[in-house]
Amino acid sequence: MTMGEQDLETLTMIRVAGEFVIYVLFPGIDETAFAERIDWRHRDSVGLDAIISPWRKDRYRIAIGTAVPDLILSRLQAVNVEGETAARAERLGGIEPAMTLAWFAGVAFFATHEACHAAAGHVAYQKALNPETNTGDLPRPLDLATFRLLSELEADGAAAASLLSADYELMRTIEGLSSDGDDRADSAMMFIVIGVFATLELLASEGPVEDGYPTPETRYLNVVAAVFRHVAPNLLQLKSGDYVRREASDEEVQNVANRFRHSVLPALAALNHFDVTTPFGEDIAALLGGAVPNKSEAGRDLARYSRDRARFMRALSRFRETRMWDDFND
Amino acid sequence: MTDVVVVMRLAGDDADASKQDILALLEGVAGADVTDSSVDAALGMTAKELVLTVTISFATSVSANFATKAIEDALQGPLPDQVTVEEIFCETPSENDGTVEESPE
Repeated sequence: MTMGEQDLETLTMIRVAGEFVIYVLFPGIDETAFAERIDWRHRDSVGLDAIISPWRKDRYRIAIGTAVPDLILSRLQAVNVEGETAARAERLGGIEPAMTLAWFAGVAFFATHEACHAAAGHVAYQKALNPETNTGDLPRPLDLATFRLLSELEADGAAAASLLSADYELMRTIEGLSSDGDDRADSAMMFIVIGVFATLELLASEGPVEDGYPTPETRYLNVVAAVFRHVAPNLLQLKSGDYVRREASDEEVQNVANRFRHSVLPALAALNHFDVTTPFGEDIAALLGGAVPNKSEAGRDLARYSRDRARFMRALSRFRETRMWDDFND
Repeated sequence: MTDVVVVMRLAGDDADASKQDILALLEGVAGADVTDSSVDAALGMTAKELVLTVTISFATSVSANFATKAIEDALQGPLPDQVTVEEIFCETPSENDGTVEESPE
């Protein structure tokens, strides 16, 4: 697929994103056949719309709104591709295939977010609480509002990290994009990050946040944290159900800083989202350094939510569908 | 036996009342029995939603098209406010393992 094709249909994009999640993304993460239990649908929409619900037997049904690809495409067409972003695009074969990668990553992020709700056990946990369908064997209690909120954040983070891990496979999906050679990983990361963050940014245009949902700004910062965990897993350690920064050598810190400088930071700059003079920008910088955000309201919210994370992990441990969260399980 | 599965979005405050109204409509279809129904909370990217899934079984041997049309006709009746029919499809149980196979509408 390419971004400029006139006849590229929205439904095709949704279908290809679903197939990518089922046949490429999850089989690469997990050896179970979990993803084969997902049925993909599209449904008419004018906004950013996608849901996942329980389906027959142990299956899941994901419906992606038909407006999603076009909304993401419109946002990406306003991205400022110049400087290092343009240079990186050339290394991937040009701006056209590079931005198509960003577009596909954005749509795939939407699809993967929903699939992660199933993979993480959010849907099964919620079904277990449903008096119509529960078997009387209720999970450990977790406040439902907290569960909803942390579920969205976890699905966002897992989706972003999964896509970044599948960078090579994403690149191979795009026609005309060169997926071999030096420096491809950082170049691909730049455009995957552009697609994911452009999509997150669109959430802010959806109007007031529904009760129980994190704000778009908090979701944005949460995915920044996921990007850091992807790039620098060795700089973190698991403690009390969450990641904390560990002491690292100057060399390790420098290596990670260099990767960010040539991938994530120009991507955020292209989206006009990296102004370190604002509290939000300071929190982005803090998260990319593995620190706890505390300058903006969204950053403080994210830090506060993470305090419930261990309890959330324990409640969900028996509902996880894949082994992505094994490190956290009891 | 032919099963028709209907998926609906439920909005509004009284999902149970909407569900009962829908079930009454579907139980009025000649030769059909509602064999399963559940209201599940769907997780969404930007909003929560309730989804009602109903399975209607035709005991006698009818074609998938006939069964689906009968359900579509029933749902042309006065639906409760804020109920949206999202999907109607037919499935036929496999003879071998009890699983179901979807058939295109």
